[in-house]
Amino acid sequence: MIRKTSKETIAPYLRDASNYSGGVAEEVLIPENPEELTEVLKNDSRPVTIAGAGTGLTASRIPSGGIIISLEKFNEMESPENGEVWVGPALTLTELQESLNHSDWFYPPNPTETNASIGGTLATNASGSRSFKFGVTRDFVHAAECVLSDGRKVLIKRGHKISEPLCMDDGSQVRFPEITYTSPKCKNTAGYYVQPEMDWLDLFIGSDGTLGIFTKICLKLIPQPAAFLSGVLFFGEEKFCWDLTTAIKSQSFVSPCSLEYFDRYSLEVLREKYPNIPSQAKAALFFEEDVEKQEMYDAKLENWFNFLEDKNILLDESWFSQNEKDNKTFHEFRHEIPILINEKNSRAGREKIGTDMAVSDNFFIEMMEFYEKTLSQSQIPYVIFGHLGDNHLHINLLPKPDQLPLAGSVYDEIAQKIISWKGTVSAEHGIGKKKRKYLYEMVGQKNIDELKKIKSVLDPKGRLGKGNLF
Amino acid sequence: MKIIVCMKQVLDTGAAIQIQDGKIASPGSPLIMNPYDEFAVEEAVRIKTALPDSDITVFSLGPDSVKETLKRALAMGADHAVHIFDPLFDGLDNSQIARILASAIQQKPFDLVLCGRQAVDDDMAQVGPALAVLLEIPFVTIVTKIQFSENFQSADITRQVEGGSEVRKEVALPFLVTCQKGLNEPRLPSLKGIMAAKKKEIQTLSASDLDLDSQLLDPQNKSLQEVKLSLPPERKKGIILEGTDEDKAKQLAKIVREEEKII
Ligand SMILES: Cc1cc2nc3c(=O)[nH]c(=O)nc-3n(C[C@H](O)[C@H](O)[C@H](O)COP(=O)(O)OP(=O)(O)OC[C@H]3O[C@@H](n4cnc5c(N)ncnc54)[C@H](O)[C@@H]3O)c2cc1C
Repeated sequence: MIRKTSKETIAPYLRDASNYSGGVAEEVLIPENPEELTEVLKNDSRPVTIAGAGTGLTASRIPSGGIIISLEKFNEMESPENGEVWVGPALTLTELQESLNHSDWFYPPNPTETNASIGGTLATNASGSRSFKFGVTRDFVHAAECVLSDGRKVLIKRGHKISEPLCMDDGSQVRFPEITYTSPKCKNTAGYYVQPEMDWLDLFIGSDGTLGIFTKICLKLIPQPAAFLSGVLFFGEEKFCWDLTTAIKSQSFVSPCSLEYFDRYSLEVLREKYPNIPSQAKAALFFEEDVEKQEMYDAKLENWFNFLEDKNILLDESWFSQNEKDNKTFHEFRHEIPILINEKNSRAGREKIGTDMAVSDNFFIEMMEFYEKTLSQSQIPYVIFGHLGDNHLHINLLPKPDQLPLAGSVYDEIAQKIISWKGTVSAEHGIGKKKRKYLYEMVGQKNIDELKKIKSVLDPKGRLGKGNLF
Repeated sequence: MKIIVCMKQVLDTGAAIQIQDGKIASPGSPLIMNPYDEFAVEEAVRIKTALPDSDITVFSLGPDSVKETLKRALAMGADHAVHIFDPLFDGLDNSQIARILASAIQQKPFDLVLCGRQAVDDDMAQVGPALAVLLEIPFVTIVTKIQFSENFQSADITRQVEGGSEVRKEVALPFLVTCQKGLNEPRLPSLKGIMAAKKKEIQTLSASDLDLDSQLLDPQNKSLQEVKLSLPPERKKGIILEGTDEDKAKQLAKIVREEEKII
């Protein structure tokens, strides 16, 4: 086992993409195999924070004490078979996608940041543009081997319900506590996932590194689509883009798997890198549709043409893919916006102030109008982009130094409105250490106590992911 | 204006290549329009926007896969596409290719020929200039701006030179230019462009359709012989030093002195 104890070797593990600076750890341990991991957990009593790839946005992998365990050696991948593949938690999304590229199989979840580790994406129940059609990480996990904070281990499979106890490798059992809380039904990763008659697996997924450590993961795969048809549509007004999204959702002629939004300020940022964005564009929508068989491609293209022709779009200036390389260009275009914003934040020495909230379909237009009004009144520079199809947008506030307190209150105001619509304060990034306050506001003290009951049956000493959620 | 664009299909610039049986191979990697030729197509489309009764024909010599890239040029706004293909054309050198293109282009009148400054696969930068010589028209290479006169009979042409640029004044049409980055920002295809391209036909020309000198295709007449292809030597893997700053400095000093013998 590798141990890193000096300040400079620990430092890289005290960072993630949130720019949070309050991390402290005594040392970093890097086990070579699962046996070493369980040994440490059994013989050490300090708090433990698991390090994934460090792309998280909520400081959930940044400890405020104790030790860091990095599973970076657990990055193996078996060959995909019968619609599933076993991987180590440290395998990155890029590595997974690249090796599947040359196979008949496809892993639909596509969080924008592909340097994320699979373990991290399970811990945060990450989602991506394609979740609009295919679902989130939780929908693509068949089984996982989990180690608890005291070193006990269990292989959890789909269909293993919380009404049955969890049987650990040492013969002991864990029972799900009696609680009444259930989590929101919209796309959500704030607090634990709790639904009646759910699988144990669903509880561990999205638990923000606080219940168990994933050491081996079996992912569900689907047959590789023959092609993707994609494009970037431009609009003369933001509202035209919202209307098109509503129109797309109320028909079945075209069936996109991604619908991703860029507001006028996002386009302004992107113009630095993409001078060919039409000058009159005030909003954009990236869409893509999976094409099962090549012979269906032309018909689908025609469907899109017929569907879009009479809509309020700058159709002549909009971009369409003709090949795989164009698809890649458009995905990069989508990826570029958070990257450019994160760079701006780093240069300004500013923590990321980004929302990750979502509501159900019936509040969509109301939400967009509320965002527009609240943000423009605040005078704080901002951008809005993200998963328009899921009513799940990322607002990034870019306050000048003297606007920081104002940014905090704008964030609060937005969170309260979203909560009043029974939405979520975190749809995909998790709560970590940065959004605890909003989880409290969202679920209330009584439910926080119930969530703590879950934590206490699996990690009674509260060692794992200390400071995340609670 | 009758505009001709010469376009080559190349391997995606990001493709990892291997050498198999003396040829470059990169199975599964996408084939794309040579990026410099994209500037040429884009420029043609912009001229047509300014002078709407212009007519753009794109020529490309290569295997069947070239048709996909010709479709892209059509989707960007070209009017006609000509695919030049014949098994006899396999393995020819740049001057032979220029001769074939010249004989295809000369079949119809033209006013302007646009090429890329070079193909990014073999980086030869030969075909454009050779073609101009064969067509007996003036040429300007590495062009970043074409400013036509009001009547479109001539143009001031800016070309890049070491450390700056120079302007060739009042070049009379017909002429040939090779296009450089900076000339324009190539468009991405629009849905309307793609749908319109589906309706445009791609004409195919083979050796028998062209008035070629029988000597031309003789391998003996190649002015360039490819002797051998090899990959660049593999870079040595980097090493990451571990430990405290002091440890790392010591290790580094040792490597620099004893292994690399730099000091
Ligand atoms: C530019 C950018 C774009 C992004 N886009 C998206 C997006 O589209 N969708 C999305 O959902 N997220 C997105 N994110 C956020 C981030 O990529 C995800 O939250 C990701 O899942 C984090 O993975 P990671 O490996 O980096 O985890 P880390 O940040 O290292 O850790 C995150 C949490 O996972 C826990 N963890 C890690 N490994 C394990 C394990 N084996 N067992 C138990 N717990 C573990 C950690 O303890 C921590 O609590 C984006 C981030 C950036 C910077």
